[in-house]
Amino acid sequence: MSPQFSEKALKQVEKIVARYPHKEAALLPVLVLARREFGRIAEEEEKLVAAILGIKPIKVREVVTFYSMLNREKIGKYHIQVCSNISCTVMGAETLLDHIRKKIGIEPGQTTEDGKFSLSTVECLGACEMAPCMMVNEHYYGNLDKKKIDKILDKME
Amino acid sequence: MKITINGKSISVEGKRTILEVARENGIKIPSLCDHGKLEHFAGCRMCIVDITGRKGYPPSCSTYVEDGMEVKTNTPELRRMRKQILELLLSEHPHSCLICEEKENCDEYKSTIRKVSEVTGCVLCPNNGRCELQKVVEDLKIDRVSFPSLYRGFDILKNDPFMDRNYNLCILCGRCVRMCHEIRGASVISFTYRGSKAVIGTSMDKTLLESGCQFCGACLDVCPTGALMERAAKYENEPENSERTVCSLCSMGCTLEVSLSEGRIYSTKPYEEGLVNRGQACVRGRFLVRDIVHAENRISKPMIRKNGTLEEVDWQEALDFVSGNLKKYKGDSCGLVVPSQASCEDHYLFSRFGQEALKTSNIGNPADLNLQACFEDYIREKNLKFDFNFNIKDISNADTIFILADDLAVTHPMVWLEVLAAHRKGARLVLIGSSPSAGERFAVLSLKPKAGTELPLLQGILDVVFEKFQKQETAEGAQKSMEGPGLDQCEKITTLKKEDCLKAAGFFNGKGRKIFLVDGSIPFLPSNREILSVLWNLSLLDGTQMIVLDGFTNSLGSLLIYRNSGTKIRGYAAVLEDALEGKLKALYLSGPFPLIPGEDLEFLVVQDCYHSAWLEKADAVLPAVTLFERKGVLVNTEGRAQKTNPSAAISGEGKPDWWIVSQIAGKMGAKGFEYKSPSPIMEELSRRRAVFKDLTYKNLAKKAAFFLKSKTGEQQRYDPSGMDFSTEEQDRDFPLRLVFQAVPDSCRGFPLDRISKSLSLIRDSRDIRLSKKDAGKLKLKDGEKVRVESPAGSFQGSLRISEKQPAGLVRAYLSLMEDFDSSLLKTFMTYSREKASLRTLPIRIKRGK
Amino acid sequence: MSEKYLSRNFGVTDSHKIEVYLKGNGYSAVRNALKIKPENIIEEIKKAGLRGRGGAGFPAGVKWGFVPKKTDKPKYLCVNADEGEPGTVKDRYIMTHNPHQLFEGIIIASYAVGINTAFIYIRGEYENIAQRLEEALDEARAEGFLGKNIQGSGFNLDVYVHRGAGAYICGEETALLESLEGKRGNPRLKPPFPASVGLFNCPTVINNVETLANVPVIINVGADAFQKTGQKGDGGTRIFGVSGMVKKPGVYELPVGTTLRDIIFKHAGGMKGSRRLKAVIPGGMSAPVLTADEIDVPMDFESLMEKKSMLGSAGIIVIDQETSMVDVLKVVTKFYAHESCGQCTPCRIGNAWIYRIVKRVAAREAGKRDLDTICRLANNMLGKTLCPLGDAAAMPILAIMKKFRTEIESHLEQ
Repeated sequence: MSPQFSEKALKQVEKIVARYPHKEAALLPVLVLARREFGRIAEEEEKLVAAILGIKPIKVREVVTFYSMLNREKIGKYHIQVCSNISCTVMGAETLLDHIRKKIGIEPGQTTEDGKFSLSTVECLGACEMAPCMMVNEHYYGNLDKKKIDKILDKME
Repeated sequence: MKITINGKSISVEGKRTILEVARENGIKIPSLCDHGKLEHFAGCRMCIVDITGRKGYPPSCSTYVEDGMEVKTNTPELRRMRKQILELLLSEHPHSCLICEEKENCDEYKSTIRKVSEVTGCVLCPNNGRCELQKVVEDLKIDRVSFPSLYRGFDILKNDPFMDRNYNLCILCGRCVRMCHEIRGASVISFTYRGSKAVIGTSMDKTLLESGCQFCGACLDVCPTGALMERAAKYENEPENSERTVCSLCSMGCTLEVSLSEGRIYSTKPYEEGLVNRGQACVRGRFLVRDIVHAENRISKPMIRKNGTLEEVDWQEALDFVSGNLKKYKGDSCGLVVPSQASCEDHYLFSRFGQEALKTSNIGNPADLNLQACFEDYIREKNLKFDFNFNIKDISNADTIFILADDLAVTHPMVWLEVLAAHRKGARLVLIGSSPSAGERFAVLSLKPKAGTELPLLQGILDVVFEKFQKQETAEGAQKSMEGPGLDQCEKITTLKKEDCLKAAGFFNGKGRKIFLVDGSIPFLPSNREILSVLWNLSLLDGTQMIVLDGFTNSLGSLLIYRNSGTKIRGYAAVLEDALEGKLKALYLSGPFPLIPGEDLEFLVVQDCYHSAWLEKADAVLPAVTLFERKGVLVNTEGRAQKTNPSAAISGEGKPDWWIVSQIAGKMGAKGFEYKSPSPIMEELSRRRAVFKDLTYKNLAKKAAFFLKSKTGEQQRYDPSGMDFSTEEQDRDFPLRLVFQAVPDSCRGFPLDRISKSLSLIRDSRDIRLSKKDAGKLKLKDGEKVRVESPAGSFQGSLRISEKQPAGLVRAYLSLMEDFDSSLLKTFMTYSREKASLRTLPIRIKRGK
Repeated sequence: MSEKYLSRNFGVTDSHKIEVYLKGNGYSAVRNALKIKPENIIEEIKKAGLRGRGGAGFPAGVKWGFVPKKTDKPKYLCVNADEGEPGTVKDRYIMTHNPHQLFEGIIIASYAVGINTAFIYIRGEYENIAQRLEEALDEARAEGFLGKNIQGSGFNLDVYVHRGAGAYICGEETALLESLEGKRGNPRLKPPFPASVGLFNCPTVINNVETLANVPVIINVGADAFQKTGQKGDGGTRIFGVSGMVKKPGVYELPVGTTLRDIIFKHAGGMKGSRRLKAVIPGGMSAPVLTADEIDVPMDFESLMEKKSMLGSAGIIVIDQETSMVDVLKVVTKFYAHESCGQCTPCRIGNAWIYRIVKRVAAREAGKRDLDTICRLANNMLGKTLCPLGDAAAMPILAIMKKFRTEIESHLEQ
């Protein structure tokens, strides 16, 4: 079954497209929307977005592969993104990553078998003043230590 | 302005880059990504220079000169930096041979070990000797690379027709991407991923074929490395020499460079300075020439039927046999079908042969069915003033381009490239008609009327244009010449929105330079004659230049030869009709004919290049040669005359058409056929036909461009003609409509997909194209064998489901198909008599066997 | 007491809501500006010495002045909210706590240049902030500060939020334009400059969030007062983001020219615990590192240039003695290798090789010659790439290699 946008999402697409003089300009926001709808941008999603915007599929392809947030693989319910950039490294991000790795039993780039967690390391999240930090889905968590991480992850169902 | 490069003062005019100016002044700067025809990329960074007062080291390819600029291109520092950058490229590119101390010895002894798919060094690379990277390495004298070699490990992609891709050799210069996007408008490939993971790719990593590639080969020709390779030429020896000739595979007349190895064609490439193509080609010129010249099914020797079987004989025996037999059938009981690809010399002699030796008026020129022929008929009859000539370069200067045509990217690739060039400069494209085409992405307006309702649409537009025109000025004689259907009626018939018709009319009324491109798809549309008159009136009203395109090699030239011959020639349709009705006793078949003759025919001569089904019935077979193997003058769709040159050794015992017919004519007692070469034939033609005045070999060699004098008629007036807007009733048993199209790729009517399997993957002449919607309804799958049935007859083919194909309409190529029922043709001929055209036929489609 | 131009309401409850903002005399700058001739606003901004807060520090007024006045094309404003420079957090604070001040800047800039459409290009990760901006835009629209005929002036402006999707390079202004047009974020060749050929080939102004948030301040306090707050013609305050091993990491709005020492030790509370200062990156990761004895430098563009570093985005990263510079090097090189767009050879392949070699250095599998190779590769990027990313990568790498070579060499010997 190929993916289809929900009625609500389609309305949003319409709204997004209306902002720009060219349909192609809506590509990135529509891809971001599609990612939220479908959890990933794989071939079927690429095709869908190309069709909706009336652009050649290659135009979607070149963009999807350029931006790091447009994941191609399905990700878990909770996507843990641990910053591995400079301030977080200075503040001990590596130890925390180890802790999370052990805790949920997967390596960065993997998803737990039950589909609950996906783990990634990412470049600077723009929250250096609360290093070490991470993002779970769209939420930021800063000034992390092992205890705090346990508390955050344990609350997730 | 004045600049200095390396201390040398140079005066420069206009907007030029440092690299251009340097090269013009003999100053060498290495460069890999830049290409004169493409937008600047400035990625390889080999061409960096030092400009006094400027920070960093700007790339000379994309830095424009300014007055007083002081540039250094070759300081020790720049050389060092370039070397380091090149080292980086080499670290990701198999390079062991490039820096090998014994490379010279190796070049001498191991020039062809390329039969491995993984390239680890130059001697194993199919691009060895032609590689631009190799040259830069030599220029910069690199002898070491300070990084370990990094093999990126991409799969070598070999699943496409004609070409292989090995991105392990790619240096990401992006030339192929820019070519595909900017010049060809195809956008099949692009950069994917980013940074060090960047690689050229297709949408969803599909094959080029699946991505809609038309295999023009332009990407391949700009690739500086061996990443993109022509498969057929990959493992051959280096070519020994090359010849320049004009491609004879369609009506464009592109100049090709044919490289040869031991008399065989190694590869054909578009010539950079070609007047029509300027460095571009299409799949035919780029990839098919080699295949069609060296095809396995070439007829190599003359044959005559002895005791029921064809036997090879020498030319003398064959000529005696043919001329002896033909003597018995002089007059209209003998039909002559001439080639669809032949030179002016050939056609001139065919016309004389028919009239003076066979004494028949039953001479059929396949080009008779083409648009130019229909239009020529039309304007001749009405004595209208029209010039068939145009200059392809003018198209790119248009402000608005209307297109009523098949997919120009396939039928007239060079015209399409000019349309794209105009679009890049801001021109508006308006598409009219139900043909699916590559142009849709670029069009401001794409009018797709219900199949077969182009005429009411155009008439509706004309009505609007006319009204406005009348208000603006009262031109002499401008009276409403035709009663149109009115916009409401137009909306109903065409199922298009009224606003869209109004919009289109607005563009016709608009300012600027307007061009209307119409092509050979029109004869296959209903009511073509009326369409021609509407087109004529439209272009007359708003000052649009109408360009009548044609799909056959030299069809304009051939038309003007036969139609100005002074005596009556009945034409292709008549020959076909007579053949169907059994009126022909003898047939001299040298061109395409969609019909295997029946029992009534007593004598059949086939003069052709390839073995085909007709040979089974032939009494004599005479091997002809292609236009790539001999000299000849061709007139392209612009009216431009160009000369072909023999670029390959003649295959077998084949002879040029002019030679064969002049021999037979002579033996039949006709006078004045003693020619030894084509040049005197051309001279005679230039004397005898006014349109060909001055068109001699001598003048062709002298002049850069030579155009025929094809202006006709005198009058510039509106042409009132009667209109019939009744649309045909839908037949419940036969709910679909069939439209025939000319096969776009053929050599003398022989579909090239039968010679090249690769081509058949791109488009198969046996394809029957159906819309996705209809296919869904009928539960038919892509590639399935289907049977097309009409009240008159049927034929088989394989189904190609197309998303672009409008529902209700089925397209097939008009060629001799498997199981083609001649009664179907009869139906066409009936239509043809009534409407002077081939019309859509009511049909149904069933699963075949 | 220094001026708090931008951070006055950071921490105030519901500071992002328009009713709170209006109570603090919000949108008065817009009301006033709409009565001033557009060209006079540009002059005022020039006079104030407002330099770009995104990193390059180009004078904002001059940038606006480049846009052709008469053109038949639409003009655009792109707000660079792609904040991706490691160490930089200020725009997040402004957008979270003070979105309406940003909008005021957007409105005034658009009015001054003759722009009717603005896009806020915000990095993809700031999803919640994008949401907040959308809500704030709705509020501003409802109050008649956006949309048609703003405050009865006849001036129209639409502002849209455009989300990125994870690419550092899109913070480069021409890459941002490409990205906004729905393409890969590959930087464009310059010239033509965006002021004449920018978004959708139309004249375009691209300003950083903090730059624009300063615009209403200039209208309110006047160019002179603004200019005087700063130093060396570099006007106003900067929001310094302090991160790393300090007691009080956070954002500090201070006058341009405050010394780095004061910021770290006075404002950010000094080093955390018993840690000792080893190095500071003064202006986001691309700024060459300073050693502990170089921190008396005033934080303005000129002074830092003299120290061969840069003020950049004013993101200060404090590194302590216990942090290995090899780890820092690894993080830095990994980042640029990951974020190169891939167009220019020296950056695409160069950064990849540097990171590969640095990984070997970190694993003690490299020799001293490899350190020279790193420097050679970095040097070979300088001034040889289309966009500033090549330089941005090379400069910090070279600074670390120069200033901490001994430490790195001794790491190899362990």
